[in-house]
Amino acid sequence: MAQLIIKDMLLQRKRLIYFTLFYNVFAILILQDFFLPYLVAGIVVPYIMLQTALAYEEMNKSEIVINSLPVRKEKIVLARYLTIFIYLLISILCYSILTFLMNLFNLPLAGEPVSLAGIVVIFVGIGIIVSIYLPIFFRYGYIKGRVFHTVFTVAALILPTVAVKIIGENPELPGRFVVEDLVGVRTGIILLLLTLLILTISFNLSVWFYKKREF
Amino acid sequence: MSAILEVDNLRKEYRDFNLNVSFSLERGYLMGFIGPNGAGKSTTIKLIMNLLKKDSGAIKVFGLDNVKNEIEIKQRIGFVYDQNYYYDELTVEEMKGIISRFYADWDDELYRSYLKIFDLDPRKKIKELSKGMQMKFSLIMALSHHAELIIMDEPTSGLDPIVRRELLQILSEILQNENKGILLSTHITSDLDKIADYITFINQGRIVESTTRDFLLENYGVVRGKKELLMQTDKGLLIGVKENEFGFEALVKDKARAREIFGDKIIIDKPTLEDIMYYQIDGKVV
Repeated sequence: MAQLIIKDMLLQRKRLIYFTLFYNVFAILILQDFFLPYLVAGIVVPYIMLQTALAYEEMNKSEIVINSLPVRKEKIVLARYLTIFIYLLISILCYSILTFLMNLFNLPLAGEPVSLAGIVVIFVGIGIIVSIYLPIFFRYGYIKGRVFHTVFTVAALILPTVAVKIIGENPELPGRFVVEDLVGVRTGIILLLLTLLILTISFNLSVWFYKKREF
Repeated sequence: MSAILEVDNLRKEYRDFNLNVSFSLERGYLMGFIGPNGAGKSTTIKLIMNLLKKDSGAIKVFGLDNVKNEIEIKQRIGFVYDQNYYYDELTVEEMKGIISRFYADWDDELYRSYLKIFDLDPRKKIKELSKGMQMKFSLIMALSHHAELIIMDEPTSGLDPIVRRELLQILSEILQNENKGILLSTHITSDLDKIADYITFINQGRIVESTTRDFLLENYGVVRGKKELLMQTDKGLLIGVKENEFGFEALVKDKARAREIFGDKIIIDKPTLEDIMYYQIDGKVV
């Protein structure tokens, strides 16, 4: 299974670095007055990397080769779920280094470090997106799964705009959408456990769909 | 010796195409799986590889059910498909690094020797390789883990004659080991004229013939004669009759019987595999 994860990293190697860096800088410089930029780092960037990996798979029709190898479908599916959390780690690491450096040099637009509550929100956010998207992908393949991708992209564009508007119209609200206020320790643990449960159900559903897929 | 591959009453139904095939391949032999485009060759191979789900029937590889024992079987199968499905962004060496870890019996020394034989640069990206070189790379991946059964779906289509000959030479060498078997699907039947031991001919999802190549070439014949002779023949003797202003030509499954009926009034030529395929697909039976 490790080689399936390595394969995705190898396929994207340069893009993985450039895109992660670009989106994180963009999030810190442009979005931070309105939205917590690490949500972009933790949710949007890993999702884009996942889509890029799947696009490569589709372009080469390589699922035919992967499914001709002596590897269980469960492992192929699990590798996909794990890979997105590796993208997440890379992106958060990139974000943290950037914010650390910006704060170190007292730059006017230094990003806000990722808080513990932020990590919970990121995990829940990406967990839910993956839990919905991957079963669709394993059932219908990349092309048909693009419908969900389009919906997600539109939502990702609209929601921050709506959030910005709400903040603008309500000056009594703090300058940012303060996630910390929403997540206490107890709520955080419950949310994490619920997300893990959803991910487990999603994984089993994906395996079930993938075993029925034809290539 | 036991069959390395047994396909028994295998069925797969689509809205506009039905497959229903049975055949078997013994260890130590190469079976040419021939038929026109759309005959069901790739569908059969995908069913064997469990890339498609069968509706009914049985597929046994090494005596094991191909679905229940999928992983064990795939450890011992080498596959080559009709086009490159490997990641073209990766180099030959990177792709090998990924693929090799799936196989318990991967032999890096053997892999390096094939790289030399095929003159393949491991530092090149797969997308930088020509179609022939990509096919050679697929072949190296199929051969470097001591596969017992090699399944090839149209591996020679699009290759130049020199590469094709090299590939066929390698396959002949593999069959020196009597424990191995090769299923080679192709519509370029001339590839099989020299190396195939068995021929399975499929058309419109049905097996037309599955027997030894020698049996086919010795018993079948292409006959030519005058049109009047068409009235004298046994029903069903002449296959794929083509009439022209000089007479007719057709295929016969039993050239001894044709000689018995027509005597010296006909000319009987030895057919090629292409003749056997051509007349059976396209032409009327008299």
